[in-house]
Amino acid sequence: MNYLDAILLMCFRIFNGDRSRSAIYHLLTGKKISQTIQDAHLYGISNLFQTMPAMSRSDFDKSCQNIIEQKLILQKEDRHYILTEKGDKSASVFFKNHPFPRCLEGWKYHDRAQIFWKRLSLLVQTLSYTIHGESRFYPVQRDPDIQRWVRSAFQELGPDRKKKTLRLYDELIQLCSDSRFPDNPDFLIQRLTGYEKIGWTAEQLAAHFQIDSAEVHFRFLNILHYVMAEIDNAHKRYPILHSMQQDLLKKQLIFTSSTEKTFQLMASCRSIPKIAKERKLKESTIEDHIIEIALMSPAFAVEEFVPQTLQEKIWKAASNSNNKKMRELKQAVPEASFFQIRLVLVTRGREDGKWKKYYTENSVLHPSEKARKK
Amino acid sequence: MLPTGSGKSLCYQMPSYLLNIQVLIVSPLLSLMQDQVEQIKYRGEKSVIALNSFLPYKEKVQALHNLRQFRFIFISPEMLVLPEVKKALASCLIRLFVVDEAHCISQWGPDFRPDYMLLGEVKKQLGSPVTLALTATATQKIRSDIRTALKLSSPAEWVYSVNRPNIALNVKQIDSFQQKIEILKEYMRTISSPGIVYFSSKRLADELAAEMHQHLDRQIASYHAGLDTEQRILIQQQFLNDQLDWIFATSAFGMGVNKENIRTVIHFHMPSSMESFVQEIGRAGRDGKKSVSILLYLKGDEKITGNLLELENLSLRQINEYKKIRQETVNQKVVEEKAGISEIQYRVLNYFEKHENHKNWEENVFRLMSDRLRERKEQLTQMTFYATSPTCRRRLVIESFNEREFSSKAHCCDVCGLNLEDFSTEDKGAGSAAQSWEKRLARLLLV
Ligand SMILES: [Zn+2]
Repeated sequence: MNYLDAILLMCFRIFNGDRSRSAIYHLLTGKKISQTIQDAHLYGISNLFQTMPAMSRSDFDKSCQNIIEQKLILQKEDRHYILTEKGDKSASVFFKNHPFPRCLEGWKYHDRAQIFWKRLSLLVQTLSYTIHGESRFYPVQRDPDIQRWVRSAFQELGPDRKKKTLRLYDELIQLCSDSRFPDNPDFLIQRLTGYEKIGWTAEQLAAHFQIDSAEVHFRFLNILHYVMAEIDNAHKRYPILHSMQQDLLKKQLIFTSSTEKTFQLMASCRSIPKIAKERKLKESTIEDHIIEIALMSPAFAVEEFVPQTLQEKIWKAASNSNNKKMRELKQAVPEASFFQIRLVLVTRGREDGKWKKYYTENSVLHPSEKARKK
Repeated sequence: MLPTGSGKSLCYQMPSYLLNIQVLIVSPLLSLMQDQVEQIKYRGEKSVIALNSFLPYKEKVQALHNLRQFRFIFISPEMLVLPEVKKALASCLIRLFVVDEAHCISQWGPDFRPDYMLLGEVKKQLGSPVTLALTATATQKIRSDIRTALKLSSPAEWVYSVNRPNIALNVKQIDSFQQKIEILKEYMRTISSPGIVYFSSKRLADELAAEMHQHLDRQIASYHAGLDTEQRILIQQQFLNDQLDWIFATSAFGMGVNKENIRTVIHFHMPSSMESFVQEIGRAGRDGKKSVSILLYLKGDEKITGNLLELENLSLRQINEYKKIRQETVNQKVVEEKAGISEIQYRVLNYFEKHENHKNWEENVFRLMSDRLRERKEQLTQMTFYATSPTCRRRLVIESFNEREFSSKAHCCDVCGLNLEDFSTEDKGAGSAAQSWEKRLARLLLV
């Protein structure tokens, strides 16, 4: 079993046969359609959203085939699978020997982390060459937006460059030496490029540590997402690193264009039938838009659509049965509409990360300290 | 026609500065284009833009709007025929029109990049500026293809010899596939690096690179179009920076890589033509120092390439089907599926549909395709002859480019007598130089 297989097992475990395997593919590649986005939150697995954006369908199917053949998952109905006992055991054994990416926050951080990494790698390269007295080099990032950002950040440093480089060094040392740092810092630092030394590729790290490249990929992302959370929480300790993604925080909410129109109408009107009529769309479409908006904006007020008491009732029913099947919940809370149930599950699900729960419940899993010494 | 590394880009960059003119450069490969742009930027020139399908939409709109302001405009042939690009170009004053790697007009023209065939038209629309076609390798036939496609009447031609006396030519006869791998393994340790090993299969390049990197005390990495941009840049930079001993690559690697000290080029598979071969070995020894080309030849290797050529060819039935289905739908995917043709074949037929108005369209296209196949088979035969004939290999190379005279140094080829030990090394290679992350970070950011 390889790392990707193990990640897939976790996905099958969490969906528990409620969704087809395509849903997992869409989740990992980060397909931005409302079904995938809702599932990610409904099942508390938004951590994995868009964590393998470049995975091809054929690689995914190959990995699925592999775990089917090993009888780790079992077909329940057409293209819906559940974990077998053997599968459950294999996954937890696997994650005893390999680090579990417990810091992943795909939905929350994916886009930001990507940009942050590109900026960091190019800024480090730029500063490294500069302090060594060399102003010409071939940039490791060719994205014009990234280059523009680094150029202006570099110019802002002005004559203070040397001091700031030293501070960036201190911040990185502090970050990586922190006892909470989730993994071996090699997976981050060895990828950096600078004067007279070009960084390692994921493949080269994999060869060096004799692990597969999917493991390198997930451990790198795990670190990046940890870093994002860390500089969010302790931005006073990391002023330079924090400044490298500050502008991304303020970024406006970006909806699909149809959702955007609904969003604008909602400013003056909260009635779904009215909006539907105005937009000449089905009510269910407007409901999908509202769920998308609820997921994107932390300030979204659920109680405008579901009274507080009803919210509690729905949530209680969902927690009791440990089952998130709509039909059964509807039976338990007949006065709620399907839309109201979905909205509550999705927004509450945000805090109910099954991902981290799995890690804490299986405390025997590869602890971070062990990973660091490896 | 100038050998690799002898200053082709100077031929269009210098006139731009001397005469202060705007230059348009058509470049066939995306990675090559990016490398060229990076090199121009590296020497401090900022007035340069690359227009290709990878440019983000926002950037593209902006670039097209300000196109007049760029000194050097690099463009892919596909972009060149888009209406909005044509419109933006009309606002420019292009005084020099450059077609880089011009042999692609012939080599890849009808087969892969139909848009390359339209360059003559584009040139006219630009007001027929002075035109410069550049290549490192082109036979007489290809040079005449270039003249025709670019509508050049009696152009001045500067043709330099393809002979590179400092590159020794060696063909190693192999008995089995297994032996090929064993010998390659041995060469990795004994033959002078840095070097490139060319494969025709991306999968094999990956697998062997991973295996040999692990088992030999050598730094080996693979490079092909399947890698993401960041990894590709890193591998290329590592190679330039002498952190790698060997690159296992498909032909995607090398065109834009300016590395002086490549000592060895090995072909694991036989290239499909003498032009590709000469182009690829030409990446060795740019510094003029002693270098070597080694072709690993297993009897029957040419059949694999030959079969691929047959597969690419279109049958008359497929052409008929295409024509029929096109009348029902314009959906590319549907046409491909129903006619049983590949994406490349679709593009070729689509090109002929637009630009070939023969009465018997189907038969005519079929004839053109068959001619093309025969030509490519002849090229393959010539390459096979190079690998198998007991004639001086240098003579075969230059004669295939219609040259007669050549000079050679002490090391000519294995037929004339060559000892591979003269190209061996005691060197331990680049070494992995693994450091702790703390040391690494200190080396990056502390002086
Ligand atoms: Zn000879």
